[in-house]
Amino acid sequence: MPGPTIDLTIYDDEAALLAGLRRHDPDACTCMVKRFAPLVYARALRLTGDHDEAESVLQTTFIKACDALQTFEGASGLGTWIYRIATNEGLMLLRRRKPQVALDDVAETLQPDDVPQQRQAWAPDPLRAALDGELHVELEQAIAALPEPLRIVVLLRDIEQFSTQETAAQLGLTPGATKVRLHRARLRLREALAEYMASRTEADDA
Amino acid sequence: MRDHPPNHSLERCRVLIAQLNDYLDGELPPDLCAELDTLGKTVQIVRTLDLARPTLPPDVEARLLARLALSQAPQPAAMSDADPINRRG
Repeated sequence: MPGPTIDLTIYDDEAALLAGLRRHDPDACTCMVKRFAPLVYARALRLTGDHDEAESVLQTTFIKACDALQTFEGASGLGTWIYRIATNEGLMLLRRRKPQVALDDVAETLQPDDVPQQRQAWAPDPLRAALDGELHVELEQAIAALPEPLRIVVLLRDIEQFSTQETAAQLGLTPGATKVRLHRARLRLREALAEYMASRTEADDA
Repeated sequence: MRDHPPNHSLERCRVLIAQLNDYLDGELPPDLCAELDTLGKTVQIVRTLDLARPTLPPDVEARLLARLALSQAPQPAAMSDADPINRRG
């Protein structure tokens, strides 16, 4: 069932949106969901790799945000605040899973799977290529295929743009170990994208 | 973590510094240059992932709004249809 259709522009202004939320205006709540929920869900899905768990993170995030709205001081933007709650919820969920982690996945040196196989140059404009929907699908699949310890680091550092120190603190790692995991994750993503990028280069040359 | 003898780490460090100098001097072999350049491009591409505005599946949005309406209601009520955990059966 599709969600309600409302005029989203009535709460374009964040201060007005916050005021609407604080007086429990249902339209303000719908605006907040339509504006912020897609990215919360997309990030939770990348983090957990599971639709039900992502939806659970989504719901818990918005319930906690609504409960805490009266005390939200606005030091950061509303979106930034909601995304931080979502990240914390996602990480808590992963900790509760207590996964069986392979030693190779948390090693602080390069492992055989990290060693590059493809050393061809790519198309000259990766940012133009990044807007390519197909490339995004390839990238989402490559991220999903990363072992969890590597996936979390690349999501926090490269996508959510946490600093190395913040990422390390979130994960209980040293900054050095965080950098090693990030490098290993990037190597594997590069390898996963190499074949697709090579085919793009050939198509562009043809 | 695999332990390496201190000399191994020192030697590896020297090799990396030499390669960095070669890269800056434009003397690094083309395949290693491509390796570095494509790694940089990978980072750029990953960082654009959130720029593609994601969409929320309509049923997920509807359940979220229903759950929020219930959580804001004065009296607690059953919320099995809105709860993703209960939906698992």
